[in-house]
Amino acid sequence: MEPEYTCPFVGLPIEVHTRRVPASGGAWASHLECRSQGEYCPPGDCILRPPHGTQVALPGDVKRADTGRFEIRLEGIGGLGANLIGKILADVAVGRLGFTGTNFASYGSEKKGSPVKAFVRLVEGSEIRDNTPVQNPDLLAVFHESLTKTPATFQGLRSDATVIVASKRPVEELAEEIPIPSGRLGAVDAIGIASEIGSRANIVMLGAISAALEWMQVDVVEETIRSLLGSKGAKLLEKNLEAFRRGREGVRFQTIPHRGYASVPAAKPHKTTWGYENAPIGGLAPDPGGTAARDLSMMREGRIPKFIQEKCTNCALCEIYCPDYAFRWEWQEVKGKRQAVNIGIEYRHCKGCLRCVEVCPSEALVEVAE
Amino acid sequence: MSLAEERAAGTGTAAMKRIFANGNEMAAEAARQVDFHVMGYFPITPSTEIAENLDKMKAQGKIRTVMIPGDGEHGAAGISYGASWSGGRVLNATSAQGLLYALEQYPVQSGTRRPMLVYLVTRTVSGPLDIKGDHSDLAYAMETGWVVFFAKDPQEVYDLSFVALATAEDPRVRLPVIVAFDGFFTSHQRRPGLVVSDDEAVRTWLGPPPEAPHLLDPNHPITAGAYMNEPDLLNNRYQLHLAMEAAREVAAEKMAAFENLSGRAYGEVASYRMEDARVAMAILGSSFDTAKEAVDILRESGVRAGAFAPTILRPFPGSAIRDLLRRIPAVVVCDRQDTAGAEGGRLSTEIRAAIQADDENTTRVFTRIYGLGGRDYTVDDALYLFRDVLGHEEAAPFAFHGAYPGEEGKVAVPHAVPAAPHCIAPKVTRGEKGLATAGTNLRDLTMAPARVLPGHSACPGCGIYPNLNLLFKGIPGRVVLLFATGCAEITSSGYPSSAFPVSFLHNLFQNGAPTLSGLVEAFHERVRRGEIPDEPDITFVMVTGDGGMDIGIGASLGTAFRNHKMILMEYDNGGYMNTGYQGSTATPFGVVTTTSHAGKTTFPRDSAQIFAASHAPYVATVSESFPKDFVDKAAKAAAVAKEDGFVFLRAISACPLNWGFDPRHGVAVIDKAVRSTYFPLYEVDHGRTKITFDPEGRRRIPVSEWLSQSANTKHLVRPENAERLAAFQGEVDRRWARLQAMHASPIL
Repeated sequence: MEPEYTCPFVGLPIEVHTRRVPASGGAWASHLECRSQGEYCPPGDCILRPPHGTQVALPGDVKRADTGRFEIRLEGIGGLGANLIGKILADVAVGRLGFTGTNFASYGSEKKGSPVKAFVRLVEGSEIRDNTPVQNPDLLAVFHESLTKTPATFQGLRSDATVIVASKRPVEELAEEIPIPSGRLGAVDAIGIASEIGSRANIVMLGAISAALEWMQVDVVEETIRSLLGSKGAKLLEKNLEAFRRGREGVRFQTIPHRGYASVPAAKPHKTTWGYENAPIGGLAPDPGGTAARDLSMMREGRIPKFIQEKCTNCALCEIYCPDYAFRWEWQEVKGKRQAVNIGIEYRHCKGCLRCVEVCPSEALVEVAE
Repeated sequence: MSLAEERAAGTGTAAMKRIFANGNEMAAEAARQVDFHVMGYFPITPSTEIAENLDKMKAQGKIRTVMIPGDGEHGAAGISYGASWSGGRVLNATSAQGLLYALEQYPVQSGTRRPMLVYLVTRTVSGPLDIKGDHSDLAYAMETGWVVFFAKDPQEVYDLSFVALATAEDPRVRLPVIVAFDGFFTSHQRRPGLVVSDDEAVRTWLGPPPEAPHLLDPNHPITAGAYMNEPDLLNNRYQLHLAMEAAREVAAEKMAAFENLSGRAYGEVASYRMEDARVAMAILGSSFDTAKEAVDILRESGVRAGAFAPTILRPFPGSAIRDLLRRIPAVVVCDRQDTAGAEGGRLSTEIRAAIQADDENTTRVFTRIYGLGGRDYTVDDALYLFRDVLGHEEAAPFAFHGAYPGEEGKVAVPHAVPAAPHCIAPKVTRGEKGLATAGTNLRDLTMAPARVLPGHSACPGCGIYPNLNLLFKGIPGRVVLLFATGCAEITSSGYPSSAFPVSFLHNLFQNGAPTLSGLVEAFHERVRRGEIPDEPDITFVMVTGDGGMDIGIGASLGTAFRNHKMILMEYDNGGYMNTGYQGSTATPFGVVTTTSHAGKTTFPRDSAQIFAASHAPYVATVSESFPKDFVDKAAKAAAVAKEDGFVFLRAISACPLNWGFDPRHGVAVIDKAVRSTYFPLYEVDHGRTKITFDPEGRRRIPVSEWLSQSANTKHLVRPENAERLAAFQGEVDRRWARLQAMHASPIL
């Protein structure tokens, strides 16, 4: 039974929850967190509201059921470097601060542009008894804003979680759109800051994430960056350190009041369309040719080819060199003769490699921002 | 051997260092400290990282081990077997298909009693292809006569490496040994662990390999591998049986000795809260942690649950398991593998057999097949399985946990909307000068029916798909495709969808060409029997990467020698790209890959010349930067594959991800490979070599212009690599001059 607590602002009774959370130096501490949400709440951050809470001393031994667990999930796209940030966070927490923990990533082939998840799990005590992907993150970092459109990104989010999104938009605006039920939302213009410095957006995200975790000591993170990325040259290292600091300073947080709905439930990956009753025998693909229906626009990085029909000579080079078969052609009568004519790009299939812009001899394909 | 409870966190005689590492890294760290003489290996997920890490250490001068990537796992096992006859220490690491491809070598290794260490990083055995973790490969390994340990986490991978090697080499045992651990769950998840900080301490503990007969002592020549008949083989096997039985005691000794050093205790079975348990869970590897969590939760609600996990599987710890289960009414055995038809996986059947030998034992055994193909095992799963057998009167003795019937009302129609026949391909004629094409209109060929659809998941700017596009533009009528494992296959045919509106089959790396040849011959036979009444205009096409051509070159050449009517196209991107850029024999000289950290020391395999030497009727090289030439050769290939027999095509394929260039420049990058004659364009038409693009007339560029474009090769043009660049250029010049001579002379 939790003791009764009253709100330090208005003196009314509130529901308070204690949680074990990581503290400095690899230790765990108990936090008091208010779970009530009243009209009388003060605007802005409250010291009793997650994720801040108030550190308290709990008497006696910690019971097994109350032992701490802190989990981070990083949502990225192959090539954005979310995996490296998971490694650095875990190196700091486990390698240097001495927490017990584990770090891994979603496993697949080594492709660019596919969704990637990286995980860091910290546990109190000396044993890690869970080797499954992080389903209920305490901290979720989204390395590309396009991923916020997929509800699955926010699967299983804890009610007091912190979510950090790489976005140049103000956090207030994002808060309107992003369907997290409560907790705290952060935004940082990771791509903008990175391109200003000449570093990479993932290091900016590392800065933003470390700003959300009080126990993540800045000097230790910087030391870890030095040891992991130092071999790429002093100049680049300085840029990375600057990106890290700018991410720390540049992230803006907003508390999300309880919105009255639950998190998107944690994934149940085994409940797919096809099972032992209806899957074709022998592993035959139930949907041959089905990739054509996919939308691959998420694999782009902000630049796309634009087709200018008037300039096109129908030389076919774009069609020949497009790895994604995104060009559409049809038979037309041209000067009384039947010939194939380029009618443009199917953007669902375009991954934005811009090969077509390079090979087009007549400037009918130009690079534009998406 | 006594039962060890939990691995104790005591202190031993050696100083320890805390590191944060996954199972593969821990294996590599142990191997570094052992400093094996030879590692013969072949990259296969999820075990590859072990060799990659050691190769890097080798390049940094941290180990002396000779690192040899084989031509496939069968070859790697051969390299290891040969090296083990030197009297030195030998290492290999593999998984799933790798183990199975090498399997015939394993009983040879044990039957001829050559100790060595193999890390088996467990993974599902195909098919269907699934690279994630389960124990279906382990089940095969248990039949090989090797000692087998199973490590539950990275710490155990490290510790058991030494225990296993010491056990294997002991003169009472002298058998090869496997240390298995869970693919991905253990191999790829980093955890804090302790390693002996002073290399010498652990080397002293291990000592030099004990003396045993070997082949490198001219004063004591031996004859090894002599064949045997029925009077003798049974006796030889009995010797092996005795050695395996001796391994029980020796392993216990080595575990105790290692505890002395490390402070960490092991037994043949790890158990948790078993002393007064009424229901137990038997489970292998990383899932044991999950089971322990479930045990604690159940104990809090008054259920006397316990769990155990064998640490050694060969010899099987039957006696220890009998002791553990004697008074326990029910055990749920979780098998991460199903021996179909045996009423249980290997762990179940062996536990049943073990307790059957105990008259007092009345334990009911419940088999639950779980976690196949890398399916996660959660605490909820473990709780469900315990609770399922608690009221064990009704519980099924055998069940699959987590099998799912599928979405109700969803019916699969596994046929694609078929691609139309291709009617506008170039026309091929035969004359005195050989094959010729007419009517190649690249503009109108944009309307050729697609044999591969968009929506595949290749990286942006991947060169494979333009190569496929150009290939199929040249092939009239219909196609039936076979892709060997690789980027093209993985990105186009991930269940439940595919990119194919034509018939498509995937088969494993090394066996693609024979598989398609079987289909081709059966096709013609069915046509002859009138079962396929109107012979459709089908061209049979196999596509493989240069990786598939590494491991599959023998089988592909055999197919060429038999001259089946089919096309084999190799797309050469110079490495194993789908798994993070391991070197292939087609990787350019001097290039740094994850298995050639010091730079590749050999020149690339010239498969077009190899197939030309098979006297296949048509062999050609193609490049997307010469699209008309490519389509014309594809059309000739189709004509030859229809009438004459086997065709080999070789395309160079840009990989922006691993070569390291802006994907937009793919065509220009490839073009310089051709213009430098690193990748010359030519065809061998019924034995006559014809260069189809001769840069000599214009400007044959130096290879440095090609190499300077990509991150993986540009180090070769730096001044400190002048010697390597000169060697590279020299080899390109030599091969080009040879080709020119063949072009000039019809006899060549």
